[in-house]
Amino acid sequence: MAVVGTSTKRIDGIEKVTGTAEFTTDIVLPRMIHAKLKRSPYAHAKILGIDTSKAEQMPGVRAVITAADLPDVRLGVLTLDEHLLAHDKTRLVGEPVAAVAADTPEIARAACEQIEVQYEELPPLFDPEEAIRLDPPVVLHEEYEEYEKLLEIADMDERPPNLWQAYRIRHGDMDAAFKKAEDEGGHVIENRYATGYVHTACMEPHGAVAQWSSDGSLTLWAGGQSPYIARDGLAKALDLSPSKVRVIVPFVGGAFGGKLTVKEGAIAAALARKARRPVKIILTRAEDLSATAARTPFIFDIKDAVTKDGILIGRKVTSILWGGGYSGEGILKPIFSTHLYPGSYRLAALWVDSYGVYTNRVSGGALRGYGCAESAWAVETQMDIIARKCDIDAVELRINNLLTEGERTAITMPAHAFSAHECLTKCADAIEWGTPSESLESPWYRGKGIALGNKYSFAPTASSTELKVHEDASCELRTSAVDLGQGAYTILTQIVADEFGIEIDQVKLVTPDTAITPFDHVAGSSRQTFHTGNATRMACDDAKSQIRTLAAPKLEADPDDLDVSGGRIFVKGSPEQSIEVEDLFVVEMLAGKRPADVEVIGKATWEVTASPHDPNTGQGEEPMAYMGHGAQAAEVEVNVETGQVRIRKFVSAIDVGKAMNPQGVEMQNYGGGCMGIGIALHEDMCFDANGEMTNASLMDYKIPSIVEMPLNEYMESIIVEVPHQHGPYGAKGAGEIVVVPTSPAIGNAIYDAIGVRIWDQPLTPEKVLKAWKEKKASGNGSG
Amino acid sequence: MKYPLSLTVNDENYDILVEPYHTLMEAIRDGIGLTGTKCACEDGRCGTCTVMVDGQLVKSCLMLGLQANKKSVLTIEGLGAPDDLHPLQAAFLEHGAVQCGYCTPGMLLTAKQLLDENPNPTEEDIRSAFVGNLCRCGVYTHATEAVLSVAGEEEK
Amino acid sequence: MIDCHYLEPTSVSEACTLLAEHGDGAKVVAGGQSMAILLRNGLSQPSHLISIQHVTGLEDINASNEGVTIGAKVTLNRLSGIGETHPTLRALDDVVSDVADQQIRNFATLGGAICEAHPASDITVALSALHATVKLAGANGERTVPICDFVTGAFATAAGPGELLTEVVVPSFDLASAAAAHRRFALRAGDYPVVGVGAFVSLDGSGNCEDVRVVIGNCSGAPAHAQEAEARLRGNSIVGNNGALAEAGELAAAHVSPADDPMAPSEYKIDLVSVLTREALEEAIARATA
Repeated sequence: MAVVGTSTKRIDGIEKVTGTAEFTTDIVLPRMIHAKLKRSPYAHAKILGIDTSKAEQMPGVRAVITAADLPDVRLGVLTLDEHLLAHDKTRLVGEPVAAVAADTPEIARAACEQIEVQYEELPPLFDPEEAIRLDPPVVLHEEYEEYEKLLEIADMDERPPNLWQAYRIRHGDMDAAFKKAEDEGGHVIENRYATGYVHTACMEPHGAVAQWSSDGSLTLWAGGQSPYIARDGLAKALDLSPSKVRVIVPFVGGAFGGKLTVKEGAIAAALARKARRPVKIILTRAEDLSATAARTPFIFDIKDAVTKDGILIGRKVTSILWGGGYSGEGILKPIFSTHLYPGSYRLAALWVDSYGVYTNRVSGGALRGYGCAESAWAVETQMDIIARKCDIDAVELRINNLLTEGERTAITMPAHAFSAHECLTKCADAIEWGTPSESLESPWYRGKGIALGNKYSFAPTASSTELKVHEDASCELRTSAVDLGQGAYTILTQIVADEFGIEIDQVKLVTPDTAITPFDHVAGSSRQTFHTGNATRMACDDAKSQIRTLAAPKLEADPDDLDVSGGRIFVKGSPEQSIEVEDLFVVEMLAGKRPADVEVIGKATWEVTASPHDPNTGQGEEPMAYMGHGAQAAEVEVNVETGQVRIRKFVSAIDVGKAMNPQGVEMQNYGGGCMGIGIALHEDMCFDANGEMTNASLMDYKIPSIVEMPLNEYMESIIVEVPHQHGPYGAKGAGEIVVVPTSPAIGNAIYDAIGVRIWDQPLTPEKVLKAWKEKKASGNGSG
Repeated sequence: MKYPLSLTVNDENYDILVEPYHTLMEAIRDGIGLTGTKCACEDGRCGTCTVMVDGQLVKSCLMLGLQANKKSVLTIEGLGAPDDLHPLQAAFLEHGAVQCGYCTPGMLLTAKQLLDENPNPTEEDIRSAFVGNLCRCGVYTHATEAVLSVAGEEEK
Repeated sequence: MIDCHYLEPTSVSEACTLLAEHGDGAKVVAGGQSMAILLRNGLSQPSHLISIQHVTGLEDINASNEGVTIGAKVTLNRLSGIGETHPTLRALDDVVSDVADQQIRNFATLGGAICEAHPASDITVALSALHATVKLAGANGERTVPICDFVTGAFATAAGPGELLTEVVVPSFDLASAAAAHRRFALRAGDYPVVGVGAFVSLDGSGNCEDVRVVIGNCSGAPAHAQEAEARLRGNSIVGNNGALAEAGELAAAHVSPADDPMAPSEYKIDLVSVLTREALEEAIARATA
């Protein structure tokens, strides 16, 4: 009765299709009131004073808070640089400076308007290349040196005052590589690439509900990606012991990296403490898009040394992450983005200088593919350019440069379960690579493009689970892994059902609640199937071991000779010698049965350690938990009069080690492709000269609608299964790799169609048209 | 000032009080307490608040509550029950058209109106129908499959 | 939120009286499809909402020799396919099924869409190309205003205090020698267009352009005639003459000065004006000569 490996229907599906699934936005508590935030209209300003008296006197207002009502602590992921409510300064438009809780959201909003904040405007700084100067025009964090920092950055003679991250890779002899390329008829290819401002734009906006108990403990309901990160963040922000904080995760309406922390939840909690009533905060869509962390832009300068035969022998990269007012969850991006510079390719020399800087815009956060999706844009476009320069087929060129199983990448990651070749060739076959696209009538042109990608899953990390076996042989899994829509609950349920040989509906999942469910690091970095999956298997093993020990005397056998499956315990090799699991839970009495004093709870912690990279060389032992692979290809249709790009065909081939739930993988392939198409073509947060977002609505920030997707017959999902030695059943995660190669695949297809390169995402019609017109003006307009 | 609003929602009658500026979405969620109807964009683009009013599909954030006075509203809770799923609900599950689930109620009602009007839609018809329902998880491909599967069933 | 009253007149005259009585604080709600957003975001805080839901007589579509009269409360959904029953309305039919989505078209009314006066409204552009007029009822009787004079700028109309838009009249023209068409370009299905262009042409017996109207949307506050493009074509040979249409497109583009917006920079809108003007004209001519 194998359940793992089958397309089991999602276990949280009934609630979701019947409207009974309760999300944070749906929670209502007795006496609950509503919070709204007063936000800064300035990108950079000193706060001279805040007068809340008018707001406090409004009927229906129950609490007003400013930074003065909160502990004076700075928060952050690894560089603690941010107050919950702005202290003396505001560093981006939309930074919260005060908060109100009132009987209705309307009253709270009106009260926020009555709060008077005196600002002294400071010149804002938006340009990352200005920001990184040793003598920048503006310094955002004057007290940076005093901040608590949990991460070592690369040594620098002098730190540019707006810099918060510096990371280097020094692998191989860079000068020799360029010299060899030049001396031996090869190529040195140098280009600048940029990514845009992208938002997770989850359908469920950020929100939380906070309630205090009379013993001074806090319960927070928030649809985030990690209840434990949320708990610890709340404890720090409000100066509480973590044991006084309980975080419960209801259904989550999408996260994609955008719901790692619960800042607004902490503000709601502070209001609730002051008002002595439960407080709910739900961000408006405009707040959600403009003031919660975004995927902020990178600038990549890449210089490659290539032999005349198209073998990559050296790569030099300088990159700047256009961070925002605070380092936030973007703190590791300048490091993680470097993973793609070698990617799946052999590189004798790799030198990287990667930086992150403060600017007066929205803070940098995580978004599906954390840095890898961004650097893939540069690297995989570069591979296409190299192939054309060397006149070698783009698939063949990539294959010629691939690592082989067991080699180490230039960032010392062992190439294990190395499936790049298989992903690439299956993807190429599906898009009929090598067969030119059909010609269309003017002004339309068709073309194909392909790209390869990786996503590493971070380490060190850990997941714990508990598995309780009930007397009816059903199993209850307690986990703090979060289902964000990706299907984690279903996969973990499948694992338990498989391990115990029981039906799916005999498994009950206890969903994240820090009062009940054990530690799990985060539903991020494609880690849930891999890490929580392993922990779940181990907890099942532990529970089965307890059962065997309990059953051994009853079966007069050695525990090691017993097996547990389908609600029975039996002697291996002689299944007729067996008892029911429920027999363990009862004691026969003269007058009948009574419950036995038995409790079967398996427990396990799966942990992956890692040797951190040296920030000055980028070298380490085995710096990541695993390395994921995938390839995507697109066939596009480009209109050279309007610049419109339509995706005609899309293929996504990803390696998941073992498809725990094949339909779930297909959902990632299609869904990730959809998000990737939006990021590639349309999604772009726009800002005015004051640093305010000008398209903060789902009307104007254009996530794809169904019409931007290819017709179903032109969508293809390919599942590659190269088992990972440490993955449960060999499995690896699928959630992020599916957006990594999308943009370069599409960009390369546009080039194939009309012969123009767009260097900066997104590839909007106006950029395509402009590039086409420039090409025509230079006399190469034949397409 | 608040006005009485009388609604029949999923065949049950409700009499509540609403402000004139309250939308039907707020009347359903906050006034009546049926939270299957979602709110995500507040400007009528996303479609998570889609319901039917007198058999016509509407984004309930774009209709004032009082405009629906004495009308009959169908929300996701009335489409089918956990133990008695509507064929579209079953098909969405079967075909993997549900991920985070936040857009799901709206998409299901859109699909229902489509099949009510056109029992045998083409893929193009389905794409046109879903223009007003955004999904960030990108279930579009699977949702199309799900609707086609039900359309096929009804033909049999 | 200020105190707000909700009134439900049942006749046009009652609605006009209420509008006049409550002055600037009164706002009309028809389908609600744009008003509900303004109210929810606090962008509009009327003292009185005048719902015309129960006002009768505004839901008819009637054809006469003069033209087609469409009641203000006719929903966009009902207008989908209108070109089949009323062929002079084909240009309107070109746009209605691209306006937003079916949920919105089910309740959005033609009158509401016009009165919203959104600068990117395809409907106003198409109606302007068709030389439509709107009828306004007021306390002092009715008046008729050409739609291009009614929409005076972004979100601004010529409706006076106490006036209610009751119907839209699209004048007749000779289908054997004249036609109109609309072309738009949007970044995503269901969205407002980056640019929309409506074109009307009438031809004389030898295929020369007798009359022409080119109307550009979303390049200024209100739809604007491309007069230079019209002048280039009027009286000249345009059938089978793509050169003339392309030139008209370029002339139209040369005389717009749209503002940048989050959807597109000005420069790109200008490029689209050229292409869409040509395409709308091509389609109108194809229809007129079919």
